[in-house]
Amino acid sequence: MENKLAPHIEELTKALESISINVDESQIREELEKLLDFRVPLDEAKRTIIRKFRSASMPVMKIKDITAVLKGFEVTGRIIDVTEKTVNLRGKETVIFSGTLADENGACTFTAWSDYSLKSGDVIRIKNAYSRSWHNRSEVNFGERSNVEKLSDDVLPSMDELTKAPIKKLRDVVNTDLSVSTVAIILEFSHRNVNIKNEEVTIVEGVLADETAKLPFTSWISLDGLDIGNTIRIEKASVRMFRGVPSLNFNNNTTITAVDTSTEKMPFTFESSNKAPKPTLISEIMENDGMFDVVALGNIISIRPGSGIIIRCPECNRVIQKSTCRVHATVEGVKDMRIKAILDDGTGAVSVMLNQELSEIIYGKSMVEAEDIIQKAISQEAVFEDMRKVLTGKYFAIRGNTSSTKFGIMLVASSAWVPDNDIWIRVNALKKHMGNDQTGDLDNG
Amino acid sequence: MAGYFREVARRIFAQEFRESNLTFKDGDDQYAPQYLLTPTGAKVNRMFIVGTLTEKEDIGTDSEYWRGRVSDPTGSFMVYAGQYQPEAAQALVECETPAFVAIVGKPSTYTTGDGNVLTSVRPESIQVVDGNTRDMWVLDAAKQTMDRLNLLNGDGADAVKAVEHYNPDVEHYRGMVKQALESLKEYQ
Repeated sequence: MENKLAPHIEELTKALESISINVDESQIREELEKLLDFRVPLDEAKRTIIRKFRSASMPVMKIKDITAVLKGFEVTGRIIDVTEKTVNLRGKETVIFSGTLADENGACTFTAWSDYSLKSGDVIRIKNAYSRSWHNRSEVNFGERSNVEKLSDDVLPSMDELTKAPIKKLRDVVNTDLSVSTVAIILEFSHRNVNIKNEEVTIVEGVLADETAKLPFTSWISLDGLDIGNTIRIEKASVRMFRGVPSLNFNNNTTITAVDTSTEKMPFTFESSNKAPKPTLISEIMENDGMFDVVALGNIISIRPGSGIIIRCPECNRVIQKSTCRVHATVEGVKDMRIKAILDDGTGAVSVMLNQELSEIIYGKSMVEAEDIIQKAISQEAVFEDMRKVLTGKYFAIRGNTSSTKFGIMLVASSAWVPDNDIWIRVNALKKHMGNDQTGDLDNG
Repeated sequence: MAGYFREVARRIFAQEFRESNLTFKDGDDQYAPQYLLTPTGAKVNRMFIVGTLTEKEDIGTDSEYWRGRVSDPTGSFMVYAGQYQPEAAQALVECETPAFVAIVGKPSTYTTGDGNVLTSVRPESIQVVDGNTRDMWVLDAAKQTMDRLNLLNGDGADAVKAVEHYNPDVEHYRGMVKQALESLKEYQ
């Protein structure tokens, strides 16, 4: 037995080393023997061991690389602020400490589930921390099973340095920015009243753009005198995440000044930043949790169930079956039409969601006509079936915002159209791309 | 990305598909998806084809089992749909030949007694489309084949594996792409 296992143990040690995990051979032997004693087949036992040690290893993370739902990592940061809170945890009053943790190139919120007498300004190293998603960004958590150690002050840049709002282009704003400064043009601008703690507050919502990207913004301070088309310099806007897309929040710490574009030249104009963006490869869209205002170009390769004529609850807009809403019980449903489809360009696939107006455009039939189909076929599924016939395989360009869901990336369409299909321009471009020496004889044809 | 993700539908020409014979799984879990690696390094779990359905035949003995032949500028794909692909089989039944069809499906391989590997497509869906959609597909497949050829000498895992297994003749596949693009001109 001893010798028979030796080559397997060696193989396991090597396999673990190759993913930079060093484990003592005797430990591996012990695990392997235990699994074999429990009649686990050898191959499965080896896989189990690799999985086990891989999850036990503790990678050292930088704050900007922390994604939601990681377990057992090590991170070093400076406490920017910390507040004490009493929460009710499964019927027990518990004191937790939450605040902001920053390193050289990012910041995130944290929650400490035990008292480590943390003070603003402390530099700490946390071993066996875990992360979770909180307010749409990842938060570092640590508690009883973690190990927290105070480090000397010079390990990280000073407090002032870490809390300075970096000047960034909109494309570069990420979820580990606490606040940023930038210059951008206002593309959309509208007022909205919201109720905060029983008080009516007017906020401004809109869209900003520069030559690199567009981002949504919300202002809690008055923007009197500003409107669509104005270029503004923003200092210290705080960054919030919504569905994986950063949004800029203007509050009392933020300074907004109008830029006079007649004296100060900008690398963008209202026209240049307000047009539809160039198409993005779906593989690239899939790499991001959320993107604001992108265009994807591909074939609809599948129409998903739930497309067609649907009935919604008049109260909450949920899709309902048999006039019964999960929340509002029996209701008089409201008819709607939508399309859920898979758009694939050969580099990746995203789900796209089209509302009634866009569904009518790409399906080519109005909701009234669609209802007719149902009447004639005496089947709720008839429109879904017809949509599959009409749409599967077709080319479409879909513009909208993306977000990450349990089932992959979803693109909620704001507009949809049939792309310009002059394929000769593209054929010739591709031939050029192939090199003239190869295709010279073709170009005359 | 954690959890589920949808396999992308690759665009491959019939000739390259016919010349493919390497299947493998990512990882050794029994639920790991199966892939076909093509000579230009496309790692295929799902494919999207638009071509001309030229023949269809029910080759089943007990139950219906439909075989279709779908041609593109470089050759043809064999498509098999039986009782486990009810929608695709139904579409084949209803479809006239010839017709332009868009097919989403999975690659499937069969090793003959003398060791040859035959490739075919198990369709998830078959839909009739127009000629323009077919031409656009030829262009897409050409572009994506060229993109793969350009990466073939790089150090991407799929490219390395493809070179090791097939030692592909790049000119052969460039020629295939050229021929496909050229064929579009005939209908200009």
